[in-house]
Amino acid sequence: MEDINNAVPVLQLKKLTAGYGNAFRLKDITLTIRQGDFTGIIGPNGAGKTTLLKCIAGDLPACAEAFQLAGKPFNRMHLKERARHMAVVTQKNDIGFITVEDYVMMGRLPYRSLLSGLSCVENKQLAEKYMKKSGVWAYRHQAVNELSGGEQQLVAITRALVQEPDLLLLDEPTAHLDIAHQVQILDFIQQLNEELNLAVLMVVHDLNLAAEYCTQLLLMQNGEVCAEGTPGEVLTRHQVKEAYKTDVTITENPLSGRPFVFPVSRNATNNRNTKKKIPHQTENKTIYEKITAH
Amino acid sequence: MKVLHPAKVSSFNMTNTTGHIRWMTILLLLLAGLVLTVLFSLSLGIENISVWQIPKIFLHQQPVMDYQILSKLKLPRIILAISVGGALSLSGLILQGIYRNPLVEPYTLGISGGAALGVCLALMLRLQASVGSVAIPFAGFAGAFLIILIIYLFSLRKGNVQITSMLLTGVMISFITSSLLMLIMALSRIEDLHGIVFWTMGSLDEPSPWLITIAAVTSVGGLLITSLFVHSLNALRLGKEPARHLGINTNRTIRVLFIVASLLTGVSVAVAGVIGFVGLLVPHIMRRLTGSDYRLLLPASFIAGAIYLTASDTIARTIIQPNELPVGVITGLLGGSLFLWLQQKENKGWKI
Repeated sequence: MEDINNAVPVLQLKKLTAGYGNAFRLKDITLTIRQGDFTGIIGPNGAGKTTLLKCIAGDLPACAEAFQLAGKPFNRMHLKERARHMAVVTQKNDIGFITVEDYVMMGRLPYRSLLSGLSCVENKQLAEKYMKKSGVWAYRHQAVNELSGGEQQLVAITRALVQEPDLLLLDEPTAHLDIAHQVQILDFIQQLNEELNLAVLMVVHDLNLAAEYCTQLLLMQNGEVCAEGTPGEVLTRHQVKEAYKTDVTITENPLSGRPFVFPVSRNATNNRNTKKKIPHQTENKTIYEKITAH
Repeated sequence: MKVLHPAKVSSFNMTNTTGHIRWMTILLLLLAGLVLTVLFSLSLGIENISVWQIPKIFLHQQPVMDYQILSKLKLPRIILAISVGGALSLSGLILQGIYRNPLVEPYTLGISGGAALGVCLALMLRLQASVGSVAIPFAGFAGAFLIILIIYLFSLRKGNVQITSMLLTGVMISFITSSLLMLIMALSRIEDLHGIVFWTMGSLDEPSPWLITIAAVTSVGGLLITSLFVHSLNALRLGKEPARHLGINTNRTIRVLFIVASLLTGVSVAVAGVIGFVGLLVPHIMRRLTGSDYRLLLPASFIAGAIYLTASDTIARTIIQPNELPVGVITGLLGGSLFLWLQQKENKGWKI
């Protein structure tokens, strides 16, 4: 079983090109995701992270030498079959007035035949199992749009799990969440990745969260992949500076040993260059004195 | 833990069976309401027949006079009211579902305008005198189909259906047809004008039995086809892309359902004229009463639409006996007031 899983990647892209209208936004993306991978797509705004995710989700047409999901050509797969192999959690979940339970049950839609219903016993038990696992079971009768942002995200991930996919696509799952919810959501995703051997591909803005959770990173710039590998290999000062056009300092997280990226402000750079370490208070005072002197 | 587990599963199933019981209760209550409305509608009017005697009259076909009035005059009209009421309500529900917009109704998209245009042209050219009375509904069909074709060519034919552009196309076509309608009215003779105006107010007084059959078949057919798409409609509540991610072929769903809604509206308008408000009001009230799950909402809206139009028509033809009011007057007055009253009663905003 292990061998087969290793032989057929969950997702394989070879030289994928795509764009909106006439402008190309993605050039020659090559990417392989295997079972158990936890891959993060990072890069500056406009680098094409979300565009790539949209192509993989099937929302945007793309040209590629090879584009295979679970070993089958993506373009020739039925929408239902795609949904059985891949679940998508988008950033904006504009879910209407639907109870958590009903929404989670929708994850079984790809398995439904034309005339059958959704609420058979197996589906219900599966939904119950995953709702308990993610901890949304307690508010299963509440409407999704009445929950907090973090809870909505958990509900969306639960729905994705009920699809029983091989690959979970996430578009910035931690956007607009506080640090506690960020960690809660990503811990949960990591747990799923490890327990269910589920392949995860997520777009993430926060470099430190990416470094902390992902096993593999993809750094994008101008629609191309400019670096890929483990967080340690990708998040070097040189590569980050090149991609983001911003200077950073990188150290190690003392607990996990993963890289940690510090942003560097202009003042800090100036101070470093002049080798002067002025305490914050004094500096403010000097500026104040300068202003009052005029 | 292992002892607890089966109990938990069964309690989970229990909550769901109570859910199913709730659904069945709502549908049975609505069906009972429809039967009551039909009985009252049969009893009231030209010949007041007691509600209790109606089953007896139908069983024994006696007395002949009463039986004839019931079966030849009142029943066909009630069947038409049920078909058109159900069809308009269904059409409104479908369009609100695929556009994800609570303000859309069958008439927003210009389909009724097209039918009205066809009918007015036929009335102005006096086709009913040269071809026969069937010419009027046929002109209505033709007009409605022409509009459906135009909307299809403008926005539905493309590979990826753009919902906003479909809506805009429909609204623009609606403006064009109403302007053309005014042009025709300005150009037509005064004696034809009365016919046009009266037709645009809607009437269920339709003598041709096979037109009533067409309306009934379209209506029930539309309900059956739409019921194949209840899960797709539920998924579309999440938005077009999330529904696609769940394996729903959204483009096909929107195309098929749009054509079904257009046919339902086109046939209704051609047979019964412009009867406003059913398609907007009934789905809204049903959403409030039953929630937004299309598995329940679909049959509930259909039955409620049938009840609403049958009741409105009964009022329209009995309130100023022996004369008749146009049924559109009643649906608008009754519906508008009910709508406002509900709105101020629980000001929660509409939920799609």
